Amino acid sequence: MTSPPTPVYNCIAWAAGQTLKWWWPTTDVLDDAHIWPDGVPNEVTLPAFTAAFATLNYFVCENDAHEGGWEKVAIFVDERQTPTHAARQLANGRWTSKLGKAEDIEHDLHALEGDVYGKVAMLLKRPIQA
Amino acid sequence: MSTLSLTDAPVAVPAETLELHVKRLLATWRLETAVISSSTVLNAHPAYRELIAIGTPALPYIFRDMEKTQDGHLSRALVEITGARPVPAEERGQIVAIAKRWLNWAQENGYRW
Repeated sequence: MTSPPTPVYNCIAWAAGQTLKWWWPTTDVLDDAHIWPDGVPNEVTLPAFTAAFATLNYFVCENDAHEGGWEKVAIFVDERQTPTHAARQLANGRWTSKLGKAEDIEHDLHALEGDVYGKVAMLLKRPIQA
Repeated sequence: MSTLSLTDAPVAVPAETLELHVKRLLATWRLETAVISSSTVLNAHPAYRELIAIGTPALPYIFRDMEKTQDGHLSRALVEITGARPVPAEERGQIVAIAKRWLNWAQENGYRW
């Protein structure tokens, strides 16, 4: 565990390097407690999540291997291919995740696969920001 | 002619107060969605929907919880119960700011908790 529970940000925000807002796509016009990048489809699909991270200069990559100079994000999906979670790779090669409103943790990427988050379906990377 | 035995008599169960009921719903909602990031799942949880179904009588207890937790995810329920929209567009997604907006709105509209 690397931080205490908080409802302020979620896994998508944390993977995107943000800790002030809750990131999730929804068309529910009565819900003010989320944001989603402008211009990205407001839908819970892998293409939409990939496009959301593309606004931060991430693009699709082949594997989860640690590469010097690169920052990676993994998107998890359930059995219906619906995104459930995202994790970000740390400089030491391990991964960090914010678990909903609960803690953020450091973990092996595939340790979070299972009933709650499904499995890793997409890997993205970008050059480490200066 | 039928007879009523003692075992058939209704058992008097102390009614849960509304405050305890709201607290229990909030605790259930938080526990069962603790590791979920989906706003859709948070807002559709049965305990969250039950809070909304209680309506106006739940408001003081929701505001009391919000003051303590700063949990702006209660905003969706408050919008549905009150019809108010005190959160400006530029503060969407900012959970603590959302909670503060709602608490200010509640005070301005005479709610006490």
